[in-house]
Amino acid sequence: MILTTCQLSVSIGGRRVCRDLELSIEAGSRWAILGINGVGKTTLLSTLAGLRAPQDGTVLIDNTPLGDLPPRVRAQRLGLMAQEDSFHISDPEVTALEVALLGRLPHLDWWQAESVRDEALAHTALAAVGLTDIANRRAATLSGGERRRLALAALLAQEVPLCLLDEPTSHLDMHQQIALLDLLSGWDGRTLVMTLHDVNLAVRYCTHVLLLFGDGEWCAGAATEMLSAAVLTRLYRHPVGAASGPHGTLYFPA
Amino acid sequence: MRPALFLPLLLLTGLACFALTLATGTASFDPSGTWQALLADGGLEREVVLTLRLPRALAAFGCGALLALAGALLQALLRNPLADPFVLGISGGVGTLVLLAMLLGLSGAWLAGAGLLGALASLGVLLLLAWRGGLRPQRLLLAGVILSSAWGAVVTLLLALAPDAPLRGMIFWLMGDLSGVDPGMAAVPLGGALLALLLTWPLARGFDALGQGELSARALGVAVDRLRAVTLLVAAAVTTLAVLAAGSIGFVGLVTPHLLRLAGLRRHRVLLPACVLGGGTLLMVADLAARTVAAPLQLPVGAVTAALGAPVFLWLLARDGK
Repeated sequence: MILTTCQLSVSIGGRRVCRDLELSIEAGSRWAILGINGVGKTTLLSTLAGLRAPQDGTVLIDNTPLGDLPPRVRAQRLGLMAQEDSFHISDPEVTALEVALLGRLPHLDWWQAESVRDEALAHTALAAVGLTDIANRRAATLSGGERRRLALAALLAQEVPLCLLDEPTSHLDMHQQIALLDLLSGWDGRTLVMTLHDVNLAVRYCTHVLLLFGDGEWCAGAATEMLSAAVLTRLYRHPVGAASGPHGTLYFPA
Repeated sequence: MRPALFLPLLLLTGLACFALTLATGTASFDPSGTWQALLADGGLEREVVLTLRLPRALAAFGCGALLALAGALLQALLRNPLADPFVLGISGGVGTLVLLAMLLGLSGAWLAGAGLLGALASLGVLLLLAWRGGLRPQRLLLAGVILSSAWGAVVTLLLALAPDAPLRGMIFWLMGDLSGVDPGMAAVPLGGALLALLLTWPLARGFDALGQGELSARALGVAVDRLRAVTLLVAAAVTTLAVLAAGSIGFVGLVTPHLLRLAGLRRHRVLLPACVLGGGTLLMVADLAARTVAAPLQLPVGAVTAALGAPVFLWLLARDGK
């Protein structure tokens, strides 16, 4: 068990995101957090990442409360890929390679310079997301999709067993969405927790889902058991239909 | 060129400019002449170099280093390229109280005491307005800008009310002036700059991470709140020291970090020490120009920094766009 929550209650601006959430996320599993816009998926993800104090309850990583870990130790165990709009680069001169290298930050003491291995890891990460050619381009000149992949490269370079991703597929076209999730699910042994808007991507790539219904109500479990047209109709407050597809059931708005 | 190679290059440039500053003035020597004057047992030349030029060059270098470092720190803290050491109103507080003290006929340590009081008052107001369980950069910047203009209004009032006798001194002090440096204190600004560099260099990678947004930085394990608090305190101390030593010398603090960034130094591990060397050299050269270009007239060094820095900056900017 890599990440567990115990009686976790989270709220934002007076609205409940979840109440008494009990999650057990096993190493190597891939979780999707699903729910309508504004239900608090990002808030919950930040809480799971230890960047936001819960209203009540605890988040444990390897049985240690996240709050007990110094920030740097925490960042050696779990990484967060922020949503597109909070990943903006203020220095227009910084290059893609330098952004990827920042992923090494939790592993470096302040007096240490980046080693040859750190640079190699950054290059490998850029190659893995298909950005080798633009390593020395300014990050600010990249397209939305390239910036997503660059953020992913930084996360890859961070070498953490647990990755939390906030809408990793936003701004990506269909091909890029599949390429990115293929890449993510191919990461050996890493545990993934991501917020997604596309249920069908969750069906195809995730082993488990956490559904947030609003008002603190939630349910969690294996994707195949949890997801059905009826549940999704309630989740999205819109009639959802189902059809069988090549990668499992396909859901569509009716 | 690898960014790290800039540092020895800047150091050599700084040393060369230092030697040039010692040798140049109303009585100019060639380099060996300066050396001989320093080694001589006595004589006017030794006196000129040791008691006039050396302290002034040292103070100029130190103040330039302080201002450039403060500029780089505040640009990183506020994530705003227009930030300079004067943006938060710390220097305004120092300036106002020093001028008030001058008006009251005080001098020496009293002026420094008054300046320190002004700095602390400003810092207090900033923390009161911008601390919400941690520093909020947007609030800090807004509060600072308003505070600066408030202090500016008081300064204008003081100048309007001041009798003629202290007025000239007050105006020169406001413009930034290195001619009144106490030889015994000449090394203090440089010492302060080196100490501030030692305190902030460990945070350098955190500044780089903060450049990608607060959330990303925190996710990478950067203790953002602590980093911001330390940065504000160091930047405030550094600005206060620079203003107390030489008044409000503009431009060095804003432009030095930008010049170095345009030259390719983006990461703060190199940028911060480069600011100390580059800012110091820039102000030392500007001060050399200030006291020699229109000799025997002495120009305010603040005007010279702008006159020297602006064209270079514009040239670099134009070249960079291509």
